[in-house]
Amino acid sequence: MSLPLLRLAGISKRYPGVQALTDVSLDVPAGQLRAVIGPNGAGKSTLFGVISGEYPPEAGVVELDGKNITGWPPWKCVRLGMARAFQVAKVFPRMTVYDNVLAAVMARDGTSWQFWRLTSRVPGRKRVDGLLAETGLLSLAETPAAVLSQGDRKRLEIAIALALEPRLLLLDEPTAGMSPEETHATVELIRQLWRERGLTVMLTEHDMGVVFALAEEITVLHRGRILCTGSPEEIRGRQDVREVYLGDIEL
Amino acid sequence: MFLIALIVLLLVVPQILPRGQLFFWQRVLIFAVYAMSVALLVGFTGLISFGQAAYFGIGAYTIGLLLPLKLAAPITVVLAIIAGAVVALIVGAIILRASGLAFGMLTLAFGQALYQLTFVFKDITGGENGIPGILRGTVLGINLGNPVTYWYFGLFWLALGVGFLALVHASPFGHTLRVIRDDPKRAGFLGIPVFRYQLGSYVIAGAIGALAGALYALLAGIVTQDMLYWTLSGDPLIMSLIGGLRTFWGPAAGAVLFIWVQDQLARQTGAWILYQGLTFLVFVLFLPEGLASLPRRYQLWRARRQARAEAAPKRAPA
Ligand SMILES: Nc1ncnc2c1ncn2[C@@H]1O[C@H](COP(=O)(O)OP(=O)(O)OP(=O)(O)O)[C@@H](O)[C@H]1O
Ligand SMILES: [Mg+2]
Repeated sequence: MSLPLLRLAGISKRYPGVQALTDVSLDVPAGQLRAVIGPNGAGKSTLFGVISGEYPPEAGVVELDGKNITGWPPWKCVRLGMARAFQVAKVFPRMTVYDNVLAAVMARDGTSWQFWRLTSRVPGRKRVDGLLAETGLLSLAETPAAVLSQGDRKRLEIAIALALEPRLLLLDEPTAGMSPEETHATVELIRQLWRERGLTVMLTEHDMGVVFALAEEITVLHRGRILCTGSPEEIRGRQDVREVYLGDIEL
Repeated sequence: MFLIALIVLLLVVPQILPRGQLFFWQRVLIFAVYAMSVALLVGFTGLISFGQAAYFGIGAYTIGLLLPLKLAAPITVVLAIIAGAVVALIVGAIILRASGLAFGMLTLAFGQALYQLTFVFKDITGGENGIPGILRGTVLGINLGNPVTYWYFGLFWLALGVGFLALVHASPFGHTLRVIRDDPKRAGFLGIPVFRYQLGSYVIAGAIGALAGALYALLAGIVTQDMLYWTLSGDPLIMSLIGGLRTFWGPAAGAVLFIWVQDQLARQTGAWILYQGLTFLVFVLFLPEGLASLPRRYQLWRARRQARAEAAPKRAPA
């Protein structure tokens, strides 16, 4: 058994009046595709926020590749090899799709701060076209991000995350707001990226079709606590999971 | 094309304009660059500062305070730029811990504090009287006291300032500033240490603001408290809004219009502030993206007119 890439131990996080996470511990082995599921408000997005440095937890430890990163700001977590796509896609609205991805590529290459050279001559530009092609955004390259459809915006977020060349990729409901065709394409894209790049992927989804199509292992979150973790077959068979979440969903 | 025409125009202006008007137009140029420095901060970094007059004033007072040393003008200008940059680095490192409106209030507070200091240290700042008798001296045998030579002296420094701003805009650093402007929190998730970039932008704006202030003090021949007053922080914001806050040349165009209107109105009426305010209102209401959006609007209007003409039934030639 190899060292887990991500390790959470005893994480608790509260918002004013809401205990969002309680004593959450989990390990994600390097190279795994892990899904986190649970009903609305279970704490999935909060968990991603704690992992990626958005919310420092009140208690507990976050480790990436054996390094304690608890309380680190997001930009440091990213530089250590993390990338995140948000549940409600957050892109840079006044910039074009191309410029969104270029910003991420330059941040990854460490060229962002150079003020003495022209952006038009930055070597990373070649990679931008590749990423746009991979995520099917090439034809939208010059479109301002503000006018993208929800599905395209989600894809742009994936392109941005990939530009950061992460070891751990966090996808918060990557297919939310997508049509069935777009969802299918995105599932294939995630599968392909995961296989080809040796990424470790953690994703949340309410679409169980997506979850069971992709996940190697599933963690179920309920009211801020981990209910269980197991293979898709195990999770499908568990009565308590059905009760809190899967109850009325076709499996 | 536009750039070449602009450079040629600026180079020949002293040969065609009467000397009496050189002062006015040089003032316009200085404020144009000052407004561009403020727009870097407000329009391209998303940091709304209500206190950039502090840096304009630091530049001006550096010139005034160095007067007894009788240094050559280019040296005092360089020292003014350095003073602006150093103060911006220190002050920025403190006040950039705040964001949004709180940051704006802190910039205003800092500007007003600096203004008050000119009363406290009356002995060296001259208090309400300011520091009169600023001499431009000679450099390499050229007498800068002559308005025409000073025009070219100013032009040289302003060109350096604008050139540097242009490079910043076209560079990865400028690209990253625009990303931060759009969503500073999200920018952190690209691995960008947002605070350092904002500080960098604040220092550049401070340095160029100080350059403008220094050139203005040398132009006016006097340093006064107005050069630190909060209205001087507001003016470049209005100029930028009139011209186009998120465009490179817009704020400069706004400065030209703003100062020209101000000058015309001040000649005709005592209530010029009222009319200036109304002009500003008209712009915000009818041209929200500023003067810089005029060419695009004109193209749109022409395209639409053409489309309408083609759609109309063809008439037989008369
Ligand atoms: N910024 C916030 N401030 C206060 N409370 C919050 C905040 N974000 C989330 N919460 C609350 O914390 C709890 C967990 O929210 P979270 O968004 O993590 O759930 P989730 O599992 O992602 O839900 P969903 O499936 O709807 O996305 C909820 O009760 C939510 O109302
Ligand atoms: Mg969520």
